[in-house]
Amino acid sequence: MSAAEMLTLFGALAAAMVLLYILKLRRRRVEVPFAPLWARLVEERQSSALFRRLKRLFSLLIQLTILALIVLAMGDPRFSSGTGCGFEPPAAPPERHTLLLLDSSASMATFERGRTRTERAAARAHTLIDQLGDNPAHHLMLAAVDTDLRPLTLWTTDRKAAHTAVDAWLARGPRDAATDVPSALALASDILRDRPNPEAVLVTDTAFAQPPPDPAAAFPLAVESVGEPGDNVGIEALNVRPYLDDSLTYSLFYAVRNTAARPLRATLYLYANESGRSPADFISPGGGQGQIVASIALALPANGVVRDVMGDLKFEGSRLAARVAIDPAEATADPFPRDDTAFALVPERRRLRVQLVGAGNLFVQATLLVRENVDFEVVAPADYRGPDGYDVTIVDRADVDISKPGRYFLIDPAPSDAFRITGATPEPTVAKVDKDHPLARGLVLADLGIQSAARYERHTTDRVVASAADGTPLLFTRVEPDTQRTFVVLPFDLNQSLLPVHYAFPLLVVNALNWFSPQPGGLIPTHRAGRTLSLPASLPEGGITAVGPPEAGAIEARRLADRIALRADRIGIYELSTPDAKSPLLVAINLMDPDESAISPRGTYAAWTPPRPWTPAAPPWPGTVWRALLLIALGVSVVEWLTWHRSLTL
Amino acid sequence: MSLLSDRPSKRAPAPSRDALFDDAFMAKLEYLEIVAKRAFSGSARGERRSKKLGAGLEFADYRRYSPGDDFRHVDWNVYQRLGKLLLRLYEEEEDLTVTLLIDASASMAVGDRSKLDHALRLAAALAYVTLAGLDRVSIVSFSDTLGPRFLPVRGKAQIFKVFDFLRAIEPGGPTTMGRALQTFVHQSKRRGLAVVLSDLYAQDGFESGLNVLRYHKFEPLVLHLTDARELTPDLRGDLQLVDCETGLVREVTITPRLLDRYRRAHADWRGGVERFCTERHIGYFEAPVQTPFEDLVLGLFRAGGFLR
Repeated sequence: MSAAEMLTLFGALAAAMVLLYILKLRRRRVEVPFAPLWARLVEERQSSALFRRLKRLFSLLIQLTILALIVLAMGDPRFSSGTGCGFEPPAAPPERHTLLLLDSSASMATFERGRTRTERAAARAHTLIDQLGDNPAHHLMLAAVDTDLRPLTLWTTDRKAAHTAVDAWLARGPRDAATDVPSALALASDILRDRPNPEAVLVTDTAFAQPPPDPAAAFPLAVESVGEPGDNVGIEALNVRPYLDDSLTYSLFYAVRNTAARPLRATLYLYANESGRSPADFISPGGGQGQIVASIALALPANGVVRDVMGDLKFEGSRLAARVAIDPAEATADPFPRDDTAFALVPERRRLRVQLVGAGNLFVQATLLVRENVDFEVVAPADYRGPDGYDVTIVDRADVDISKPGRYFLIDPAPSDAFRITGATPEPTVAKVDKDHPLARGLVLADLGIQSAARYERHTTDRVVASAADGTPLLFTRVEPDTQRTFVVLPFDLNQSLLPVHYAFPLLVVNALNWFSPQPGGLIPTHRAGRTLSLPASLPEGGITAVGPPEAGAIEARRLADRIALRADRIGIYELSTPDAKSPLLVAINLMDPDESAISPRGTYAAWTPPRPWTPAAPPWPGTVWRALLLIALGVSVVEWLTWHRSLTL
Repeated sequence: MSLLSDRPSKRAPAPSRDALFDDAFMAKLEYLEIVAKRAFSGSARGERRSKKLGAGLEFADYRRYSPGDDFRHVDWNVYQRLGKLLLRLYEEEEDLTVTLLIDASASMAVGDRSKLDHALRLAAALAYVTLAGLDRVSIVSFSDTLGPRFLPVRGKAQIFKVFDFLRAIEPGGPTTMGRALQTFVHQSKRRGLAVVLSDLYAQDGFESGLNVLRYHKFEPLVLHLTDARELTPDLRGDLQLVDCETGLVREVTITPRLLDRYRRAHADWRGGVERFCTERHIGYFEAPVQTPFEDLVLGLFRAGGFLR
């Protein structure tokens, strides 16, 4: 408040006070029956009129003085420092900014001494917050670090709020994600930029590769380590795919890492079912024996990896889980359970219904009979009712109606409207093969010993897979979208060739069946937790509902153009669906990170040094000028009050 | 604004003049008469032994003969034995005249008129009992001068005239008892009981008025109207105290200490009144307005001094 404002305020209030004083001086009239009694009393202490007037004026002056003191106090007068008036402004506390980074990566789930590393980190964080002291200018921000950096609080000086944030972080637990320290430090650098006295403290198990020092970093980084060296065995890779022969047999690829400095024996258990999403859904409470598909004994080398393919694996179910466990005979335990389990999705295998129309061909029948995914049926030409109800119709030298929509595998077809014979090529040999065609996959078409091959009128959609030197097609396909017919044609008599005795023939039949009714991809990739996945949008339009393992919590899933973005922090199998989807889209999320599986601390870092305790300097009494003025005003008021009650104004 | 408080009074409003002597009041008077008869049975009814010596039957004293005295009262037996002429004196029996002197000054009506109304009720009650006892009643109001006078009457039937007279009394003016009662005694031939109903707030002092009555052979009886609120007034702060009779203004600042001193001064003054009356054999009876009038009348009967 400026001097002019104070004067104005004082003038206004003083005028009001004088007015009130004048009003107060006009005494109330009270009628009494016998005034002489009062007169006697008053006369005993009656002072002279002049003195009474002086005392009243003195009372007004006292009240005006009180008013002046209060108005002056409201102006908050200050003395410049060094004037020796005893009213030095209190020294401002040193401003500091501490970014407390809490490692939320998967390795923080490691059990040590009966507690997880996360619990130890939370305890350390609480201690660290307490060590910040009561400096009101020491700002603190908490953030969780794994594959990215997520602030847990804003910049705050409220220590209680910081403790609450740590407790909430502990309740959520670590995520099944890797630690991306360089990215986190880059974000921390942005957060701390242009802030006075910045510093970052990372509470972590240091189970990650030490990032190179960043000379451009504008803040000191201190690390509070909560990890201890330990042995661990974890699944590093897992996948399953069907055999190439399209049977219901699968082959499993796995990789198991041993981080111990000595060889270990372990067992890899495989589980399968149709609806499991979390490890508990696969592993039965009774030790996992009830749903085990297979178990593989592993001899893990010291600090090494075992990678292998397990073939001839048969099981029922579209979802597969693997769990590795150190043999009980080993004198070590696995303190890090999160990488012991991995999931894989099994490509869908659908059984095909195939009918063979003809007099019977043992080569074809033998080939089809050994196919586990084929329901095979031989139909006499006279009993043939068309392709309805069958995935593939194989017509072996039979003159039947092939005009209906369907998929036909024709062997030496009889002349018809669709296939008009224009000639024959004697003893053709395969001179050219379209190796890119699915039908030619794995085929070696040599020494087929074909006696004669018919030449048919070419169709615009014909695609030759194999042909003779003169161009006569020996294996071709035709797709007729208008009639909804698809053909694979062998234009020669099998019995008049050596093809059935070659291993290429059963492969050709399998390839043909696959081409007619393509099965889903032979390999469904798995994904890592803690990353945002971009998946093909194979679901119908509509809001996406994501269901994961119970411990997954909230799952982020949304459609972005023709892709679906999914972010999952926990390992497991996730089901994405929309209201119109016939079946959910399955996604397998695994940890499978060698850096996280290596749970022993690495690197050397500077430890954090707590700031020196800051205590505010005791303000000089009474601290500020206005307080002194108010005290004086109060004292004068007391004097005025006492004089009033001593009846000095009589 | 009243003396008793500088805040609005919470008392019930004073009754109107017509309501002063209503049926309930009459019923109380009847009750008082019965009580008076029972309490004073055996006393001379309708007659009172006068202090005057005269033609009564009761021997009182002797005195020397003086020329002009009635020879019939000479005690010849004494003359035979002593040779001196002595007259036998007898107490003269006469009808009692009770004069009710009502203070109608402004101080009696300050505030809610409670003191004046109380005095009027007391006067009516005493008049009724007196008339019922076949005595004479006269009523006079006074302030600085003598007011209207109700001439002596006898008989219960006169009570309604008494009521009418009392209703007509209007308060006002200062109290100068000495001058007013001086006028009264000069206008009164009949001596007797003079009952003074007053708060005794006399500008010239209550003593002169009472002495005038004494000196002129009246038997004064003081009914001192008091109000407890006058003793402990609810006043505070800077005030102008205005005397309701004289208009005299006093500026005072009321403090608890001053109030305490006032209470002591008032009590001293009241004690001085009682002491004055006692020393001079004047009947004194305090009549607080907070006490019902019938209780006061009965108390007066029991204390004696009004009827004997």
